[in-house]
Amino acid sequence: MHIPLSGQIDLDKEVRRMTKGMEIALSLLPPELKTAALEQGTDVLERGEEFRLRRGHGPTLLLPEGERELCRRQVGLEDIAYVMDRATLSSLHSVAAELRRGYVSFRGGVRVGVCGESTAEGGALRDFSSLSIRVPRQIFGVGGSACAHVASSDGSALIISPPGGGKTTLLRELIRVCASCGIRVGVADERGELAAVWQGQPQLDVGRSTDIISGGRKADTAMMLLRGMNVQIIAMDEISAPEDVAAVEQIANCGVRIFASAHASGVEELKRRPLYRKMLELGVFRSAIVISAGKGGREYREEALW
Amino acid sequence: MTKVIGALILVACGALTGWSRAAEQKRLWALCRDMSAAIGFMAEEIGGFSAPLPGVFSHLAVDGPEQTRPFFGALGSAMELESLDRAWVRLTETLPLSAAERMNISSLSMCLGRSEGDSQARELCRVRDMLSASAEERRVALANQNRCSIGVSVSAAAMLAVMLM
Repeated sequence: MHIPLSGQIDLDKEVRRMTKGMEIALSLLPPELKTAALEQGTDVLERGEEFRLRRGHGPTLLLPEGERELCRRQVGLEDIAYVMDRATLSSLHSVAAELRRGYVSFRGGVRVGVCGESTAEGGALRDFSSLSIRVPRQIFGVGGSACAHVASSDGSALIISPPGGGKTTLLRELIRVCASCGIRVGVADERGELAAVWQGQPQLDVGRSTDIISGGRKADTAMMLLRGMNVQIIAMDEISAPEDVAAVEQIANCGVRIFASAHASGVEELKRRPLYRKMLELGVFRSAIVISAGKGGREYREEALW
Repeated sequence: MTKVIGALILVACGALTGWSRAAEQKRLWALCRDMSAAIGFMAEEIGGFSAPLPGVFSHLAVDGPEQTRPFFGALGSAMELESLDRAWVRLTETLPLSAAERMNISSLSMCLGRSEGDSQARELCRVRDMLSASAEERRVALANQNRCSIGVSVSAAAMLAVMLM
């Protein structure tokens, strides 16, 4: 079944979200860099995906077409310290676990990716050298009827696309649609990208009947959700390890639906890889939503897997 | 009669001066004791629970030891406008404690929010213990001074009164 869709995107709502996310991201920048960013104009800022600060180089704004330099001034240690001070609420100790994973979460779903010197094996970073301030992007209505069909069916679904193709955005929308209808959805949010929980509150809209465990290995947290939260659907982003596949099998055996995602350009490519082939052979996923780049933007097509 | 009233006023003034000096010393002792308790609380929250500092400060500003509430309240507000280390040093300078006590408290700006929770907690405990010892010294001195300063003030006033009469 191939259903090319443009998606039904509520642009007004998206712009409101983007502006709020951008506003919060801007609030992390030192005053001089913030001014330079604002001088780019709202049109440019609204398309911005990330601010990138690298010591010794000019600050840039990542746009869909590439990085744009904000000003000629080089980013210094004090700029990095300023952003980190604000992003961590002057409390580096309270984000040590996140820093070990390479980022710091901030309110509104804004996330600061961090590079620097690692103190020890698996230890937190210090002497920060570059930062990436990621602007959250939640698109309502993404996936169109493919999303609606999967959400209203009673089977599990796998979202497939190459890296950066919009898997997480679509998975979040699936979660939101189901949870807004009162279906209990458990989210094993290992990297904090699905719900962007900050101080116990999801910063992105994932519906009202959603239970989230952030951080921790998704294979483990998915089992915690299964045992403890009596959920009807478990969502996990980017199946990539044998233990994830084992967790998928166990969840399915308990009669709980699964929404998950995987890196691949299509189902055929997925079948060529041993890990995913094994997962598909389990027969857990009834359908796949394949995301591909079309002329008018991303296209979403649903494919039956058995 | 006028001389008697004048003498009584002098004695009363002397006693009042003594009492106010004693009250001031008592207030400083209470501040030192409360600061020690507040810093101990910070050590527990940071070392034990990795609590973010703004939350710790806002708790101390409302439910913390009484004498330190204004300090932590001001700190919470200042953090919105300036970096924590600057705000901490600036506000510490306003505390009516001894230079050594202020220097010790001020030194916390080097580690607060900048290092692992355990190392911050160790440094906080060091300052807490120093302040605790200092508060104890103040308490002992206060007990002696109380009697002394009131006595000296009243005696001096009485002598003046006798001379006046």
